[in-house]
Amino acid sequence: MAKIRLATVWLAGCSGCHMSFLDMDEWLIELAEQVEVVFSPVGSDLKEYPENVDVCLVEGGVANEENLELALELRDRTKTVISFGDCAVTANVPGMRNMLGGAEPVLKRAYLELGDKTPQLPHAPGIVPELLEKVQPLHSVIPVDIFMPGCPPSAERIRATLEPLLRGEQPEMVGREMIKFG
Amino acid sequence: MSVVTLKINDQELATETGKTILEAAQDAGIRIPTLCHLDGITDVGACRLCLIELKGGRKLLPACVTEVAEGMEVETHTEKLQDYRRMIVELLFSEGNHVCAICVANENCELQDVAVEVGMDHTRFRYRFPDRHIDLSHPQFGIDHNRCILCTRCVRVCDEIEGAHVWDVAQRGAAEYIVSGLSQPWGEVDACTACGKCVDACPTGSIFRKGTTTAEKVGDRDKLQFLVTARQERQWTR
Amino acid sequence: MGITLREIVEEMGGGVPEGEVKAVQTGGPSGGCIPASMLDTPVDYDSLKTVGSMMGSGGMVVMDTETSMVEVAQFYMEFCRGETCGKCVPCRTGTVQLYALLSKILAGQATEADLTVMEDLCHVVCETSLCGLGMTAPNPVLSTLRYFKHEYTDLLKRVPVSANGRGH
Ligand code: SF4
Ligand code: SF4
Ligand code: SF4
Ligand code: SF4
Ligand code: FES
Repeated sequence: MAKIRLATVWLAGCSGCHMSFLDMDEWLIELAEQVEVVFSPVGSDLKEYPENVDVCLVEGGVANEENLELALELRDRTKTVISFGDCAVTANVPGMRNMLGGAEPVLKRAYLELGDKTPQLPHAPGIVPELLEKVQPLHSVIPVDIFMPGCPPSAERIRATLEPLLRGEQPEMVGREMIKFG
Repeated sequence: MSVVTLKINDQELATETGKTILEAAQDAGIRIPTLCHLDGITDVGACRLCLIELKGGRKLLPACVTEVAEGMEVETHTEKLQDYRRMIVELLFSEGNHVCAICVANENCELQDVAVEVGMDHTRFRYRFPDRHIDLSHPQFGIDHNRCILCTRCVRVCDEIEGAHVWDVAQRGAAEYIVSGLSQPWGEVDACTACGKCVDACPTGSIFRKGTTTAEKVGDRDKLQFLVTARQERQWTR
Repeated sequence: MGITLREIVEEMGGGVPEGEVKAVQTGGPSGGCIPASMLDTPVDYDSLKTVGSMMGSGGMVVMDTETSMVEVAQFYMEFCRGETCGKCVPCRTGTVQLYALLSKILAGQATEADLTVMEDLCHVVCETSLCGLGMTAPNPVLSTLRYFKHEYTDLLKRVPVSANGRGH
């Protein structure tokens, strides 16, 4: 049987979900034997999201144009997309900027009102991705197959989600251990 | 006291007249999800989580305000009820701003628990991200409207048990919020005795004690129940 | 009472000045839309109920073929969203979400999945709300879905289906 092609993606999140992924400790070695890591900020050096990915863990909400583009791209090229952690599932902490209204008030607040030395709005088209008006959970922009809440999801939860997938089964996302937020 | 017999999920039960379906179920150890219900204060039937199906009945009925009747056959967990409950919880999450990771009530929140109970792992609705405020004017407590689910438990506990009636409901629909005094900052409401009952009554992290941080709020719900029985039955120890 | 919608609309009211009748909305904001093909329905409590509307306030709004039924549903939902008292969850937040979903459909941003969620939500709001307002608020959506579903599906976002058979 061909190895499962696994990707992990980091959108607007704090990387905590990826840290929790690394917390799976020695099980990572077992995992590495069963999958081929084809794209990941913590496990590969590729810059382009590859074709024919079997499973992708997506950390983070969709906050800027780059996030949106990558989300659409990975949906196209992946069989099973997993919303990985509260930021992907609910927009969570990055989503708190939504309460200020839109991208402009957020930028003004952060770069002008709170800028002590040289207050200035960042603007570098093509280099710094533009903010979207609102940070959205992943499933607002693409269909998602599995939701794994948690901030971050514990290493046990991540493992319990991945193990069945490696056997070609669907994980059962029920109960406190699997779906409690926070 | 006369006895009523009924069936809940095919289990035969005998209970007293005047009890609600929720009480009868609780006595029999059958759990029905609730949010606006709190033992010891009047029920308002507002959250709709405790809806049950009655055999031969057309409408779904809220267990917390429906009295038992002889021969009733109640179903508490049909597939339809589970689906409907899940959707109601999804609506609640999309309505406010719930960031569990940084919430005082994380791990001790009834809304969070109910989400797990109904199997809600995401909401299908668009988050509203409303602009709501936080009132920290009270010397001991705070209220963060972002986490308020408008269950009115604080309103009822303060009115019915403490007798201070500090809280009320202002506006309606999407603009509805819980208001203190005559729309004053909480700290300026003289009627507040700082008893802390609303802190314990609040099912979420909306009303909290100052100084508690993430996941540190542990509500003492039994205290309220104790106060009620203490007064009604004159039992002063627990 | 008892005379048909056609008699009221076409004979007594003189029909639509230019064009044709498409539907008649009866019963006020939480009533339903009855398509022109059912104009022979008699106006009484039971008959209006069987076709998914109601007597309600007794009011009638006649719509011609130019009218978008999704816009009609959105219009009524805006009204209910403003009228909900806010005591119970399904009506307070359900009407807000129904309005948002209708707006999303009208903006051409909605998918098949949104349509399904909207239908499910209609049933939840009808069956779980505390009072008559919530119980009937989804009627304009349900009745237009029943008789004019294509107007909703026509507005859905064309979904490019990707290699793995999933759209977005
Ligand atoms: S109130 Fe409950 S559901 Fe809301 S953020 Fe706090 S822990 Fe989460
Ligand atoms: S602290 Fe006591 S008196 Fe003050 S608002 Fe809360 S319940 Fe009412
Ligand atoms: S503040 Fe707490 S108790 Fe009061 S209505 Fe809001 S959630 Fe309920
Ligand atoms: S159904 Fe009735 S009680 Fe519930 S929010 Fe609507 S108007 Fe209020
Ligand atoms: S507990 Fe019965 S409606 Fe809220």
